[in-house]
Amino acid sequence: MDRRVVTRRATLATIGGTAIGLTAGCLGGTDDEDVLGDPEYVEGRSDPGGVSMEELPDLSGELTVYSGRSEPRIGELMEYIESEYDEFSLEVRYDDTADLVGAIEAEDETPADVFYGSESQSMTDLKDDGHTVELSGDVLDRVDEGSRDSDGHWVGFTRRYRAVAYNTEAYDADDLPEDIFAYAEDDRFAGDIMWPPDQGSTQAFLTAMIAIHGEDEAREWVETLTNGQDAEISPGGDSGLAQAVTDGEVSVGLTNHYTLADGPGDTYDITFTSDDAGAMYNVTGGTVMADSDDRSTAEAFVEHLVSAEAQEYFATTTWEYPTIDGVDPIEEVPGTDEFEPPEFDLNELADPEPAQEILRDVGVPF
Amino acid sequence: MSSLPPFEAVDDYPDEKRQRREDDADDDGDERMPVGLTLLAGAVAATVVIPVVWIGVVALSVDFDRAASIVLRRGMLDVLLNTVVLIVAVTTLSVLIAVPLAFLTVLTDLPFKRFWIVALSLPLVVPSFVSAFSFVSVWGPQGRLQSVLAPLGVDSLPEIYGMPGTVFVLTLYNYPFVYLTTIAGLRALDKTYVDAARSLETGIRGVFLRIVLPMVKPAVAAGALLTALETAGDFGVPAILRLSVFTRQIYLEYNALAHDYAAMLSLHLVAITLVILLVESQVRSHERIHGSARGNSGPYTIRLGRWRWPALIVPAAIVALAILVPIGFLFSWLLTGPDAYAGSFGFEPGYAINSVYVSALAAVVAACLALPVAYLAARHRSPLSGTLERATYIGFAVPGVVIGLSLVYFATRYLPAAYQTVPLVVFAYVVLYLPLAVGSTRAAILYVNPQFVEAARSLGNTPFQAFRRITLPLVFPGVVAGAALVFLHGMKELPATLLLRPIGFDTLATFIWAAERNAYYGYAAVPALVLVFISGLSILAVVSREYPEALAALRKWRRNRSDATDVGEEPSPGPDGTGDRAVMDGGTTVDASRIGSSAGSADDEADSGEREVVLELEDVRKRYEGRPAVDGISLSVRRGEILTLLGPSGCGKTTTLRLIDGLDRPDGGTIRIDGETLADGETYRPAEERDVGIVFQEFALFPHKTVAENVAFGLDDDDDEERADVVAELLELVGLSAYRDSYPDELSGGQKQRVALARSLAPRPEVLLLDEPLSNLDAGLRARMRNSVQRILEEVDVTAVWVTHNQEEALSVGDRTAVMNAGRIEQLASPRALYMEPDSRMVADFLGRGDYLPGRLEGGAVETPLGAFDADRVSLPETERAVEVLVRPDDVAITPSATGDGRIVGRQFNGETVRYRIELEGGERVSSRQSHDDWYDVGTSVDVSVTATHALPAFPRA
Repeated sequence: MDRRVVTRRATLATIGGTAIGLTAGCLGGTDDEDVLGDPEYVEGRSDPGGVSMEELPDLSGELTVYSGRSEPRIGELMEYIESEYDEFSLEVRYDDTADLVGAIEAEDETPADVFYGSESQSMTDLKDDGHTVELSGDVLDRVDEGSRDSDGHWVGFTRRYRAVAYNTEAYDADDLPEDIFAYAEDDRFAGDIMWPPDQGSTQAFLTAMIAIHGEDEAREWVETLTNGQDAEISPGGDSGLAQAVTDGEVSVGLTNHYTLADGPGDTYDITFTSDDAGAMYNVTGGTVMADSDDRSTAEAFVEHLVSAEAQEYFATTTWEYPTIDGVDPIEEVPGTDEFEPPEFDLNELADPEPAQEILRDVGVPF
Repeated sequence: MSSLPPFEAVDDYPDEKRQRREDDADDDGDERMPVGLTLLAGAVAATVVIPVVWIGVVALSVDFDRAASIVLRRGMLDVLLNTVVLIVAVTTLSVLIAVPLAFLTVLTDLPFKRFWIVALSLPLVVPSFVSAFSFVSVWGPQGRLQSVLAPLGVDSLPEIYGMPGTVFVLTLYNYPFVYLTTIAGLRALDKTYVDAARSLETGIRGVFLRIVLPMVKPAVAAGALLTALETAGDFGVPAILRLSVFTRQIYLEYNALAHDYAAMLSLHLVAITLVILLVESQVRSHERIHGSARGNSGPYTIRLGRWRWPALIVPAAIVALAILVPIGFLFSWLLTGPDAYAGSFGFEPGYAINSVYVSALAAVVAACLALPVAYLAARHRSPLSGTLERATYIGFAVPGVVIGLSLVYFATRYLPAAYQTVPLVVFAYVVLYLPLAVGSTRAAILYVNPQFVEAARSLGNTPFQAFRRITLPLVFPGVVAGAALVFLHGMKELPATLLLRPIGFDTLATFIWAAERNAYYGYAAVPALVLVFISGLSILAVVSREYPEALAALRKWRRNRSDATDVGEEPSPGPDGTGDRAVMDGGTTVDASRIGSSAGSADDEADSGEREVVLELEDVRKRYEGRPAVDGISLSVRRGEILTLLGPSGCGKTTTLRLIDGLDRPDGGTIRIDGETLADGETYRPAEERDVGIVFQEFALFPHKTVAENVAFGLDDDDDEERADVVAELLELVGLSAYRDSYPDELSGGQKQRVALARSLAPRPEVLLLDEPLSNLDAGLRARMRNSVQRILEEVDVTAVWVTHNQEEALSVGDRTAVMNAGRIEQLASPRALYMEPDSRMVADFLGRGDYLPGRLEGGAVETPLGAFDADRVSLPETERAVEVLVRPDDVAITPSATGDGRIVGRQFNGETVRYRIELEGGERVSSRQSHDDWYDVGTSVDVSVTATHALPAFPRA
């Protein structure tokens, strides 16, 4: 085994170095100053806690990962992990989550060893259909309880929170309610609020609202938001919403926290509600496929993504919330001590039908 | 330029016969439905339908209650209604936009027509993930258009979301299907019909509505079918514009990870597709879109006059909306640049190469697979061939993900090695887009007159050889156009590509998808522009077949390649008849071996009577659709003899010819040449195995071959030099040496006729068949050509059967003439005998004018209103006493006389002669033909006498 022996610091620097090298090579990305994965963020942060990749078993052989997360988000990390081990090759199939789940269900025997989901529903779905295996307690225990499958089949790599986006010229964060139900009732937001009901993440949020607050409250919330507040529908998902809020077309939008990472503009910021469905989260995560002929390597790979380095990568490049102790979210997003996420089982998000039924009943196009 | 003299139209275009003959080209299918081809087409259809069948299998696995709750839930009726309204609206609007645009850019003198043809086809290349996106961005709430118009006081634009916007965008990007097929249909339109119609119709509108529109209807329908199916299967535009249609529901289930329910909902789409195919098949039935085999008619242009420039506004507005908006949008992305750093994510030129590679492979495979299906559907029409063809359309309307998942299922089970490989992606494209190739190829095959193939077979080519040498080159532009359509759809394809591509294999579409989904629009600009540009180039291939200039350039190149000594003899094609009039009079020396024994050529009947029988028919019968077309014909033709087959339309003479040639198989009887049986109850030798040549009514010269190549077509390939000699010799014989490198459409009618003759003579057939060889020539030329052809036939001493409906032609060129009626030979005799001694009234009537006078045999003489004739001056039927005596105008003499027994009641001046109508004392009427010198007024009293020296024909009184 001729794995390079490096310090934790050096490993992170390597991630940064990879970023710079690729930046120079890719189209238009000549500006090193304000790019994602900018090593400056790494340097300004305290050393990540948790288990380092160095302490994990070596990866060897070949793994195929079906990734519902896209290459622009995680490609760099995948390449880094592959390059860390000489005897290891990684094939990542980047595709739509629904495509990957559909493929796995249609495949006679899936070539995938690991499924990397951009949300938890797909992993729950695969688990329910018997396509996945349980992970070992070591891996599961790395992450906090709220970020893993209660049956132990999948583990979350990052948390993505629902957030309230606002135009900084219209509001200060302090002016905005910490109660998601207020957004459907407060007259200030009448005709001045936007949401993307066709997005899977919005529907998952509604599903959580049903789980946490009950179907009647969720239905009433959608009704008042739609008919009372005359909420606008985003012309293009989260990014269209971010643009609209940045431009001041609307002052407030219901979206995901990570929209901030794509730098919509100076006038765009986010805040959270507290202890209600408005601050629910979903996780990106991984699960090992039952058809894998090398489950231990597959599990080791999953473990690499909850390592200190990977969590630091997520925190600094995608601005998502780490699922392990010892790595802090990037300072641009609200700290975990600033709000209270609701308690619920992520597995409950798997069935979007009740949420869609409400949207259908109220007449919200999705 | 009209070549349809109205008064001769009936004679020259025996509609009944033409209709029947064209029908039996299709009926060939029933007779010899080619088993191999059918199996091949069946295999292709099955291959592309299997993935769709899988949808049904999966759909069966769904939980019934949940399925019912999905189908029956509130709003599903709206979904169905939306889907139907969308399809109908988009298809209707596409036709309403595309057909006038096609007329404008093909039939008028609009400036820069070719530019507009390309530009108006271009919307096809814009992927919906660009077009719909850009329209939302430009037109949507707070869009760019709104911000531009806001200072002008425009507060809000019409809503882009919902039905109107979706119809608008889908129409804008799908009308080119109709446009492309319609311009192809208009190009192929035989413009003489338009000319003829214009002489009869007042107003251009009437011509369009009653002539042009019905003729291009099949082409419009083919395009409308594609538009309708594309609309039914489109997901992107309704999704972005938030219209709830079936595709949207399918994706909803799909994204909710309920793939079985997505499959079940796809079945609804398949059902809608079947309905659309059914509607189209009703419109398509009875189409006959191939032009004549006579060659092209001249260009036809409607002058727009003062509307010429203003008319540009229409195409310009459409191009601006459909092309400039999204392109401008992409450029705005480009100028904004990549807005965020995306790690290892970046565009590589390799993605474009991947796109082109996969799409080009799919285009080639689809073109090849489309050929058997299209050929079968075009040439052997039957319920089976129609079903096979339409089966290939089903995949087109099914969303790409569903086809993709289906292929995942099949590949991983039955062909694991193919999973996540390029061939599987290629196959998916073929399943999705095969109908684009099938439609284009089928139309191209329909435009090829089946007579070309028959001509090739008569020249010794097997059906396959004929396909390779004639049909394939002629349909090639259509095949390329179809392949180009597949190519540009492949370039845009995303869902199936995502599901099936090899890991790490990125195309332009997948890269744009990845960029857009992360809102990295700056990254998407370059690949999207590259995609539009490359696909735009392929549009050139789609419309290039509409360029006469391309054809001309190709010909020039071919001519330059050929013998340089011929350059000085470059033909200057003139209008009909010019340039070839005097040629035939020049003496030509022809190789004696080809001429044969010239001594007997011009001999009389007695001589041919001594020579041996070459062609023999015995009780030959043929039925079409239960009706006898040829009903027991027996005849024999001696060496060197010209037998003319004469008869009214539909009498079976052309069928007889086709039976002799081997193009049709007789139901009974025997056909022998030189004593060898070619067809009887057991044997059947097809056309290519018979030593028989045929000259078709419409000449059927191969349009893609020069005169020399046409003539050489039936010659064996053994010796180039010898072949060149034969060609030169034959061209000299027909007086067309100067035209050896001309193409058929550069020749006049008479020249084409002679090329066809030379081509048929080249393989030295034992028997030459001529099917109305002169009927496509105008009257003056016809007389000259009759002599020329007769001279050539005599010179080469070929045994010939010449079919005509023109009695003068039959009598003058035939050594013997068979008069046919209702599938039988009424009488076969020398022309003189037929004329003077007809066996029946039918023969008598058909061969010339005449009047029947009542007569009665009384004591050795026949009493008639013209007096008594000795019985030996009348050819009496044996047992009858009451007869009618035939008196022809040239048998009757008149002399003015105050005490005459007749009175002139009518006069018709015919040039050389004058025909008088005379009423006899008893009220009977006869005609008399007089020299043009004898000029009498109507009312003149005349003496009437019969001058004939031959026995007058007489028949039992009716």
